[in-house]
Amino acid sequence: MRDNIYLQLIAVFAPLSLLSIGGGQSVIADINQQAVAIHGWMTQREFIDLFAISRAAPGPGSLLATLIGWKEADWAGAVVASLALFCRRRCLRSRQRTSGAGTIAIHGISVFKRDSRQLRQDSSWLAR
Amino acid sequence: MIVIVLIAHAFDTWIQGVAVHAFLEGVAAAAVGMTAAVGVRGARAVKDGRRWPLVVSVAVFVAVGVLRWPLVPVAFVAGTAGVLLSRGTAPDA
Repeated sequence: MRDNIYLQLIAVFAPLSLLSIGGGQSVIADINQQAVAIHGWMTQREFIDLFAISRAAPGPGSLLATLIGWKEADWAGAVVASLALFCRRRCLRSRQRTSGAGTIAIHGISVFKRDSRQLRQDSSWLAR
Repeated sequence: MIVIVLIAHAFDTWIQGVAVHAFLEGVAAAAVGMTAAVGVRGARAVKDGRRWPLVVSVAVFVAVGVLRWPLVPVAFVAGTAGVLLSRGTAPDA
C-alpha cells in the first residue's frame, strides 16, 4: 500500500471528502500537511503554485486534489484523486453508515501504516 | 478538470521563472485572504450570545493550523464537542 501512489492518493483524499464542511477550503490545511510534510510529494513552494492555480482557474477550489494527483501520477493520478475527493460525497447520501465507517477505516489504516513506517525508520526514536 | 490540468501543464512547461512564482504567490495570498474573510463572516454570524462556538473555532484553528495535527481526529472531536455543547446550552436570544 505504501508504494502504490494511487492507493496513497485515495487514502489521502477519500477521508477528506467527508470532512469538507464549508467547502473544499476546509481541508486545504490538511492536504498541505499530508502532501508536503507527511508524504513528501512536493515542496511547500510547489504546493503554493498548485494552490494558486486551483484558485485562479475556473472551477471549484477542490481541483487542488486534481492537480496534486496529476503532479504525482499524471492523468490517472488526477482522475483517481478527483474521484476520491468527489465521489465519497455522493456515496454518503445513499449508504451513509457503511461508506462513512469505511472511509474512516481507510484513513485509520493508512495513518497507522504511515506512522509505523516512520517509527521504524526513525532510529533515534528506538534509541530512546 | 481537463482545463485545470492543461493550465498547470502550461505553467510547468512553458512559463518558468521567478516572476511566475511571485505571481502565483500573490494569487495564493489573495485566495487565503478571501477564505479568511468567509471564516470571519461565518464566526460573526453566531449572535445568540453563546461563547463556546468561538472557543471551538479557535481550538480547531490552533490544532490544525499551528500544531499541525491531522484533520480527521480533530474534526471528529470538534464535531462531537459542538453537538454535545449545542444540546447542553441554550441560545440567549
